[in-house]
Amino acid sequence: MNQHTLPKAIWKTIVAVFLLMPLVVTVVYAFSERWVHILPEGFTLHYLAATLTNQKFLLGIGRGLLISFVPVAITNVSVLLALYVVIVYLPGLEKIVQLLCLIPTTLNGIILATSVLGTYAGTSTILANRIVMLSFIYCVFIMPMTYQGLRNSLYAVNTRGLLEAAEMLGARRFHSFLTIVVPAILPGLCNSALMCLSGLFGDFAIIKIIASSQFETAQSYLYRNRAQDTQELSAAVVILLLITLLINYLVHKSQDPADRVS
Amino acid sequence: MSYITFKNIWKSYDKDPVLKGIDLEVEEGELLTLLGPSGCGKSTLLRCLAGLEHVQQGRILLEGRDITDLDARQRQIGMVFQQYSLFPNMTVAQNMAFGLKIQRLGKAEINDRVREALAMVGLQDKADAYPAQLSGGQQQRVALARAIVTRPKVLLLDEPLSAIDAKLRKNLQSEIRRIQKQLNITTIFVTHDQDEAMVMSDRICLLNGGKIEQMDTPIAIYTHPRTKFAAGFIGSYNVLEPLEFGRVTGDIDLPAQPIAIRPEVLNIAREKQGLPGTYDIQGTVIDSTPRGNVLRYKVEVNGVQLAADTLFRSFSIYENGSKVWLSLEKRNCLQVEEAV
Repeated sequence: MNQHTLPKAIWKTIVAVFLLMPLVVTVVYAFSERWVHILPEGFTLHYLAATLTNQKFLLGIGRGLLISFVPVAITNVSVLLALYVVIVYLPGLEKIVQLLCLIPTTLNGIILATSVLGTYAGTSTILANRIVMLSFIYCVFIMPMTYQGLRNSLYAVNTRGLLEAAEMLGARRFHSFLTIVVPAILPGLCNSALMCLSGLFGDFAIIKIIASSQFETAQSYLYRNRAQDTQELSAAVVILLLITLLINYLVHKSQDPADRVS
Repeated sequence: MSYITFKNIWKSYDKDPVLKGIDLEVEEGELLTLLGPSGCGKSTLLRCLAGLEHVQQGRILLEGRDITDLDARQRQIGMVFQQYSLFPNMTVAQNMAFGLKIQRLGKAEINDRVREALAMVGLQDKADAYPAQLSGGQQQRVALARAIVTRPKVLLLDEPLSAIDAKLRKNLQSEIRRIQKQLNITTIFVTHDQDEAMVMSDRICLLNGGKIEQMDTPIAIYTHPRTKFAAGFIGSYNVLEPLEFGRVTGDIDLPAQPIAIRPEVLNIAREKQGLPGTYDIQGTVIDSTPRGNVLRYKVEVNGVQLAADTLFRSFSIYENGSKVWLSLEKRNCLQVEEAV
């Protein structure tokens, strides 16, 4: 190691220790029998087992995944169809679609949630339902990332050229879109969808404002039980971390091998 | 009756006319090249025939049947695109079977046809490869095989070789020509490369600014360009305005129209030739460029620059600044029109 790289390595180590320390401490705390002095005492899987058999927590994870998956699916399908229409039939509208899809980047999630709550809560429409409201807020929230991911993928595979080639072979455009273009962009589509899923699964702020009392996710569960057994809560955090890591691993796996950074 | 007929085709993009009343007839089994510079409308004309663009005025007939308003998928026309447009999620065999499945052919016939087409382009061993695993030349051959496997009435080739290196390009030119003759399929080929057009075509349709500048066999266009543009684009002719021609040759009997002179008919020598029926022109070499087996000199004659080609022989190289004599047979001075 030469004298130029040494300070860099030191700084990297300091930053890594700073960032990883809370995580490491949480993991150690979750697996220790007691930790009242400087160092933990003993090792146990008791808290992990207790958390994994906690019905409310497991239900919270299921709800969290469901409330993340549904908006991701809705947004991906609707943006994909909008982009199909724009690319194939109405290329002149692309700027407008882009503007509409990117507007949510200017909105803070909490302001968005409170605004929607103020507008629709108490009305007699289906949008007054907190779960529906939450789903649509999530749809809006992830729209910019979904739009950009899908748009990049569609242009990267030369969608228009592929559809024209299929048309010359006698295929209908929408059939070609489903059988040729969608499979061709699947890695990109999965990539952006999983990133959105990961983001929504980790959300606590919006769900707390909109529906924490009616629809308790794992994150809300942690918040509600923050004063209870802290070692069991640490085990819960470890499980949530593992789920998030799994989603991120799937994101990495879904990337095109040529684009993947090793 | 011609196999394909374009009648008074007009097409504009944003009120900017790209095709201006094109009338064109293509005979059955011939290979016609649409040649011209970028933006001249050649690809647009091809796409109008394919059904990928709609004409604003005029009719297109195929075998005497009006196909102007038919969808692209109903025209029975095969097309090879500049960017190949192979389906990335399908193997070579699946790409080729795609159109056959839409025609609802039996599995055995699909397999036979795919095998036959792959053999025709020499890619039998690549049936299970994905497009990303093939070289550019192989991808282009798959695109060609995919276009012909459905046995279309017409084959359209939209600058299919423009992204391929020079050596492979020459091989593919002869391969496309061989397959076209073997199948006797009416083919329209688009290119901006005049050499490629010369090598491949039965006839060339030279386009400029949305109009047909000249249409004829490659040799006829090369030896008898009709306009200044045709002379400049096809044969790198020296095109001289009547006054310039007078200054170069010293002839006081000025022509009524511009004169086109091919570089290879200007014989360059140190001494005056003095042959009957020729102009002897004295000039100064200002540049020389080797072009394979030909050396192109730029010679200045009374303020006019002329290109003169000679076979590249080391013993006949003239240095820049050399005084030389150009011998030009009068019958090689062709009068051309200003424009169509």
